[in-house]
Amino acid sequence: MSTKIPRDAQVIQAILKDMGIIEYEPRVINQLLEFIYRYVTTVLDDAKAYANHAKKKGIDLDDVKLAVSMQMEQSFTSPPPREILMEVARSKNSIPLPSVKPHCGIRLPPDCHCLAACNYKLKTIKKTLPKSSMALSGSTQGSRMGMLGAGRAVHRPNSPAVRVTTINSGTPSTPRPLVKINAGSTSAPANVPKIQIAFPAQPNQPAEKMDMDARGVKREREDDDYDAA
Amino acid sequence: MEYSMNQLPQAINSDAKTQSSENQNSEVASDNSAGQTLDSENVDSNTLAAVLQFLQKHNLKGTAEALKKEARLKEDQLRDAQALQVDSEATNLLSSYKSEGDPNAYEKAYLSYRRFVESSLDVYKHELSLVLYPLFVHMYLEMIYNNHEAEASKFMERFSIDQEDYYQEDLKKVSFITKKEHMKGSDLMENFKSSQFTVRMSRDTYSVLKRFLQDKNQSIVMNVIQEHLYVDMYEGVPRNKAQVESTAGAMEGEANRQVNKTKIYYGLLKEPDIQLSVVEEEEDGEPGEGGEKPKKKKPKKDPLLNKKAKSDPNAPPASRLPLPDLRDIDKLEKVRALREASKRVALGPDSLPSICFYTMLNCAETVTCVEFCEDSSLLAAGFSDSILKVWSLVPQKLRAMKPAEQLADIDKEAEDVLVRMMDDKTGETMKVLYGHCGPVYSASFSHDRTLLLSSSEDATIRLWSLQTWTCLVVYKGHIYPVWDVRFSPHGYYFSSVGHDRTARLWATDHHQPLRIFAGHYSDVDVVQFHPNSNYVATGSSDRSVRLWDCVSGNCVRLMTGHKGTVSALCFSTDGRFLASGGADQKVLLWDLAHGHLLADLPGHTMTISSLAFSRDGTVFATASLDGSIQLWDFFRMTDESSLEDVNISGHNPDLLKRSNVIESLRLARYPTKATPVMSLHFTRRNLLLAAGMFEG
Repeated sequence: MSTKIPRDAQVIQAILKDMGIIEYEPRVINQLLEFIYRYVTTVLDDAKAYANHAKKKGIDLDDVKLAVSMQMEQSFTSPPPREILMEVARSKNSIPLPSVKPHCGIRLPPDCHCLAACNYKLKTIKKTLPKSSMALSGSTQGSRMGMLGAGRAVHRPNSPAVRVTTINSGTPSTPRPLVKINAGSTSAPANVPKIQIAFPAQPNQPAEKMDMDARGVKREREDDDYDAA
Repeated sequence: MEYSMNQLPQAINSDAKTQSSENQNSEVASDNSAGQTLDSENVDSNTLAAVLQFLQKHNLKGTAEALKKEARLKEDQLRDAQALQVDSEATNLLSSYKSEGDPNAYEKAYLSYRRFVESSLDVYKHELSLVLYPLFVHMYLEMIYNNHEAEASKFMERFSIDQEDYYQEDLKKVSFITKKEHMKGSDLMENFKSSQFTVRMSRDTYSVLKRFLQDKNQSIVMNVIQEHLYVDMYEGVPRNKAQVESTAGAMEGEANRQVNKTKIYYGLLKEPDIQLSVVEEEEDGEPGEGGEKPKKKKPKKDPLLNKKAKSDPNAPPASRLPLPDLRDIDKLEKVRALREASKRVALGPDSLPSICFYTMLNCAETVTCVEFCEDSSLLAAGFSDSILKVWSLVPQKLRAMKPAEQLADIDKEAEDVLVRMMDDKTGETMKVLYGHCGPVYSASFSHDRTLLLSSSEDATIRLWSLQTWTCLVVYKGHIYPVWDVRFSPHGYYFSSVGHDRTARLWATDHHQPLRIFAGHYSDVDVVQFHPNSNYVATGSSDRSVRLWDCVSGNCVRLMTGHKGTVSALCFSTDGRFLASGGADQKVLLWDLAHGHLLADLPGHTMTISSLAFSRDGTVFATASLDGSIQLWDFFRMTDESSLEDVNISGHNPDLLKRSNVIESLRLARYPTKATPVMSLHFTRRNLLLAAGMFEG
């Protein structure tokens, strides 16, 4: 069966041959075609925008050149030039190595740079619950979080009052729960460290209730954060 | 005695690149008196703008004013010129290529130089031929810069095949630069213009070269050599073909001797005195010994360890690199390691190690890295779908830590609290770690087996806890794929290398790197720590191997000689030697004391993937993607070569390249069916473990 290869694909084959690539899977041509199409349309779109900005009738060579160089800086970056790297390295290496403080347990950066916060996962609820907002006052370890289900929260005296808002109902409203619980950390390796959960706005999500898996002290890694099931 | 042709421009070229290029600019401008029409005005104002910029940068206002008045420059002309200047340093440096020469003259000049090389005496021929490649490239770039594209492409076509094989890849990249606009963006261009290609020549060869250049009035060749080449001259006999071949191949020529002069501490750190406590004695099963010193234990240990007790002049002082103190767990681990070491099999030509090969089946070619932990109880594999799997190689399963409530219940003062805190119910032979967003290119276990590092194409490095089986930290710093990451043998520090041409030194408790090792000309592909943790070796796609000092961040050794990307590195057990394997299928052995090449081991037919030294330093194993493992007699290798007898010119004349000697050093060669070997590891008892992915 002789299939006539479209002209664009033939062009790509010629380019590959020019660059010295002799062995390639046939799907590579399709991938390159897609890429070329996307790249060229992006460049031409940008060139059109620049031409319009300069109040020109049609696209000019300069417009295209500018569009290409913009694309280069954005998508096809290359590693920083050697001089800059050497300069950065020189300034970084002039700081002497910090001394190692005695410490037991795993040496980790400050908590804000670690993934040591508690995990949470969302759980859909079947029946609708009235909107409520609760201010969480200082509590001891055993306190429950009420609507949020099983959880543990320790309130640090100096932190602002914690607001727990759950938005849920049958209506697909934007849930905006802000749960900020600052927990004092104890020393054992597995414990309840600072828990900061800020749930980003998620429009058009089915009503979901925040499930504070504070017992996720065990920190089992949930691969999917949103358990929509 | 060192001498460089470029002394004058180099002396000026202290800080301001603009000034030096401006010098070159004026040199070139004055050279070409003919054909300066409109160009000359621009050149001059450009030059002036460059000088003014330099003066302003250094706050020499008075001089700047005086210059402006004298030159009587119009304000807008100046502004235009300055705008051009601000554009990029690249323009300034590129303008060193500007010349009004006749394009056809380049071809003639190149041909005449080549004829000269071929007709010169054998003694000088090999060193002179080293100049051909940089000469060719720079001539080509000059022609492109001056818009002689047709001649340039003819020039490229005609002479590129003449160049050496190992330069063909670079030449291909250069050949894609066909227009002046391409020059600004290209990586390779930056390498060529920013640093000078180093060529090592003996004084005699150099005088022959100078004579040729002056006699035949070869101005073009002379210009190129003056501006773009660095001739490292040495006293002594010119090298023969084999010697020249052995160190050629790197992207920027050979290493000049100054680089390798720094003294490095290649000895091992002094083993700390482990005071045996009551606990350990109970484990020993000899309750009778009352708090005895380690000395009693020493006769049981390897004689090698006894030697370490004396101070090694080449060992770094213990305080040179800040390291964490040994915890009790670490001390127990050390004792355990020593006990295992005492049961070690002594390897040699008549006692070859047994090899245990772990073949991964049904992977669909997705395994990207395999790694064994130090005591051989864990195996980690990274996959191209961004997951990491860890297997237990011993009967003990992998258990996770108990949840917090249960942990609160256990007795913290109990003897085996570390065992009790693990939850038996979660024991599995294999655990999966999710987290990366791209193929995992490298993994590294910490010495105490509680942490695992992994690096990936998503430009992050992740630290995983092997007790809770979760990710603890994400280290962000590289902006391009990270090709390799390695924990230091003493823990706490780790090093990563990536596509951004840098190697970085991190500590687990800092979210930013502590050191940045910049200097390679292309991606850095492998990294390895020295056994004393003070130095880091990196191998790169620019075909060179560099050794960096962790404390100062400087490059202390530059070793060229590979003709392809360096793909594997391994330090010898005593820290004196470094073995490197590359995509050129060669394994090179370097003596770190001077940075010399000791041996070139052939035998593999594909890229070298892994190297390993036995625990007692007698046998050396190499593995490659062709699916074979070769064993070498390292003891004899380093015994035979005269390590102290080094030629004053800085290269070891007696390379172990004589094939009969090499063949006798190879102890065995074991091929597999169809499994490229990805990793090698000697256990504490000198059993060789290997892992690979079956490609049926």
